[in-house]
This record gives sequence, C-alpha cells and structure tokens, in this order.
Amino acid sequence: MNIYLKIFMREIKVSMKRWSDILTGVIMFVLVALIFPLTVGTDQMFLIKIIGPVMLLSALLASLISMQNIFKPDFLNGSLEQLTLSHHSLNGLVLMKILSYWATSSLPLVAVSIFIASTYYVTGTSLAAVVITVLLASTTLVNITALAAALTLSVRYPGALMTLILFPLSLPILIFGSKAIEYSIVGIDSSGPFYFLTGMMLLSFSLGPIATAFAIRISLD
Amino acid sequence: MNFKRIYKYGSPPNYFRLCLKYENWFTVPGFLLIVIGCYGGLFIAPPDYQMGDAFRIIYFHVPSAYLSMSAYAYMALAALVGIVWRSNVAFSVAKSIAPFGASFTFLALVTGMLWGKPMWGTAWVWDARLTSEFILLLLYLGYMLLHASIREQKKADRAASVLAIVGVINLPIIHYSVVWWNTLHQASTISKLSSPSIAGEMLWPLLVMIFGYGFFFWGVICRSGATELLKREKRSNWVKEYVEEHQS
Amino acid sequence: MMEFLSMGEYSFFVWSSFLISIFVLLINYLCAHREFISELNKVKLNK
Repeated sequence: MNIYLKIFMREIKVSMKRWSDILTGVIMFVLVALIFPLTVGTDQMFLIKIIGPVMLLSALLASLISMQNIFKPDFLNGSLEQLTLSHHSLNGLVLMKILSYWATSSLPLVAVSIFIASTYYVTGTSLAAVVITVLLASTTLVNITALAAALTLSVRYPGALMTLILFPLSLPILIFGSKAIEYSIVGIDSSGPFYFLTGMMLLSFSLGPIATAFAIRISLD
Repeated sequence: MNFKRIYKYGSPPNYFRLCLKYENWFTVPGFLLIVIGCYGGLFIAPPDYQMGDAFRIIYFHVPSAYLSMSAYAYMALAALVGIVWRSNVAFSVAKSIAPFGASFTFLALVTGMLWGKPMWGTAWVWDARLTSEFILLLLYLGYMLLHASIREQKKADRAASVLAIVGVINLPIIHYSVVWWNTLHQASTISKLSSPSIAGEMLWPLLVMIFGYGFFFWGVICRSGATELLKREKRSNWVKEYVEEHQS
Repeated sequence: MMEFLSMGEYSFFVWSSFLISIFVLLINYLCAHREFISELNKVKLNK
C-alpha cells in the first residue's frame, strides 16, 4: 500500500518538474478548440452543436503531446526496469503511474474546458455536463494512451504510429462523449451515454493497467 | 482426439512442409469456386427488381467484407496463440495475415463505394457497418506499422500481437457504438446487405463466392506464412535440409 | 451480348468492381509466390 502511494507522489513530483509539458498540452487543447470558431464561423447554433466533438478531439490531440512522458523517460534512465524487477506487482505500479498521469495532464484540461465551453455559448447545467464528460472520458483516454505509449516504447520516433494506435481504440469514447454533451445541451435525458462512459472508465481501469504492464514487459526484454 | 498429431505442426519444419504440401488444395478449389461464382453471379443470376444489374457487385463486396472481418479474428487468434505459447509459427501466421486482410478490407470498401454510388447516390454513408469496416482497415494498418517500426523481431511480434488482441476486443464496441450513434441521428434507409430473403438463383453464386474467397485466402496464407517462417528461421538446420532437398 | 456488357446502365460500376476484385486477388497470389521464391533464393545464395 505504501509503495503505491510513494510511486504516485513521485510521479506527481516528476511531472511538476516537467510543468512545461503540461502547459503545452493545455495550450494545444485551447488552440484546437479555438480553430473551429475562427475558421468555420461563430454562429451560436453551430458552435453549440460541435462543442462535444471539439472537447474530446482537443483532449485526444493534447494527450498526443505528453504521451511519451508517461514511460519513455523512466525507460531511458532505467527506473522502469527497476520497477518491473521489483517484487511489487507491475500492474499496480502502472496503475499508479496512469493515475498520476491523469491527475497531472487531464485535470488541467478539465479546468480549461469550463472556459472553452463558455466561449462556445454553453451555459448552466450543460456546462456541468461538459465538465463531467471530459472528466470521465479523459480517464479512459488516459488508459488507452498509456497502452499506446507502452507499445511504442521500443520505437525511436513513434510519431504518427501513436495516433494510428490511439484513434481506433478511442473511437467509442469520442462518440459517446459527444452524445452525452449534445443530449444535455438539447435537453434530452443523457444518462445513457454517461453510463456508457462510466462503464468504459471502469473497464479501462481494470484491464488497461494489465495490458500496459504486459506491453512494458515486452518492450523491456 | 489424437492431439499429438496436431501438436507436431506447431514446430516450424512440420508446419512449413504442411503448408507447402496443401497449398494447392486450397488455392485451386478457391480459384475454381471464384470462377464458377463469377459466372453464376454475372451471367445466370437474374437482375434484381429494385437494383437492376448493379446488385451483382454483391458477389464481390460481401465475400471480401466477410473475409476481412474473419481474417482479423484469425489474426488475433494467431497472435494470442503466439503470445501464450511463444510460438514462432503462430507469429508468422499472424504477420502474414495482416496485409491480405488489409487488402480484402480495401476491396470491401472500394466495391462498397462503387455499389453505393448508383444505389444511394453517394459513395459513402456513415453507416455502422461502413464506419466499422473503415476502422478495421486502420487497425490492420496499425498492426502492420507497429510490427515494421520495432527493430527486434521478438519484441515487434509480441507488441503487435497485443495490439491485435486489444483491437479484436474493441471491434464489437466500435461497431455497437457507431450503431448507437447512427440510429438516433438518421433513419437508416439502407437495407441489410446479407438478407436471408434472397432468391435461390441469386444466393448460390454468393455462397460459392464466399467459399471461393475463403479457400483462396487460406491458400495464400499457406504460402505467405511459409515465407515468413523461412525468413525467421533462415539459419536453422531444417531450412538447410529443405534447400538441399529442393536444389532445382 | 451488348446488353450483357452494359449491365443495365451500371456497366462502369459492376465491371470496375469485378476487375478490381480480380486484380487484387491476382496481385495477392502473385506477390505471395514471388516473395516465397525470392526468400528461397536468398537462403540458397547464403549457403
């Protein structure tokens, strides 16, 4: 129990040192969300329609920036190998890494999404729905991102390969997340998509670390 | 059931010889069935009441779509066998299925678009099936690219196999999420492609084509899997013996 | 015969999907064979 807390705190401290990467991710999020009103038009009806996909797409693209920071630095300096060789369960340690990555990369996005959503003319309970959707979707996206990062650990310049792995796996989240936001804006009962997002979050947190730990073991030996 | 007879084909030399011996048993019937199916589909089957002669594209579209999906399942199964039993044979089968599965998916998409243009007026519709097929192509490409990007053979095998397995779990999720996404947006006016209420004369060429494509696929995989195995085991003794036997 | 070749008025679509399917199948078969033969030759050359 203690070791997992230590790993979590260590990852948080290390990520705080790399605050520029977190900031870059947030800026990427804001920039992508900014492009749509600037290029397509500022019609309120249109913007409210696309706020769902824009939020999730921006979150996805922002995660591409900081994806390699989950495992690559530790892989390069050898601490990942030490974690694997220790008698602690790698699944649990990877789960802590993923949680800390979520805390440092996705929570700032959630905070910024409130601002972005209000520039898209979203108000009231819909704003709360947007925040909750980004929160829930980001948990699953973080697990998928970690899996893609672990798979491409032995590739020197993964680049678009990460996108190719990430995109099909995250498609259900994008679809249902957009649905959740859209329904809450229109006023229909949006509990269905939210249940799905929560279900996917639980599925990804239970199976994701196992697959990621397996991929790490593959890349290490 | 005598498992020993199956287990021995897990070893590379036995599998290699098995593949080369039986390859023509798959390819030749496959080719014949495809020819018969083409003849039946293009000549014998009567034109459809609603779609006219354009429905004949079904004889090329349905087998490739069906095969693309089953090829992915076989690839994931081979990947699983390779990871669990650390089998070079299984990994080479999985790696060789990928490009052929991708080409069948490409065929399904292209013939689907060629069918869609005269039928629905538009080459593409964001239907659940079409979108899932497109995502399937991306999954195949992701597998092939991941395999090609990692230098060491064993690492590449296992990493790409993890991707294949996660993809096969995700494929139904993608399909059903697109169904859910689609049905609440637009009423689907597209009739189901594989309706059981299809006339007899139109049905048998379709079945023949599906079997023909399937046999052809297995024949090509035999040859390609053998090639891949040869690539991996260049330095082993059984390859030397095989080359000496076939000095021609 | 012309009626057969024109396939209703859908000749372009039907025949192009026929040709592209046969083309891709043939390419697959030929590529598999060529790869095998070139691999075998590589092995023979190294002996």
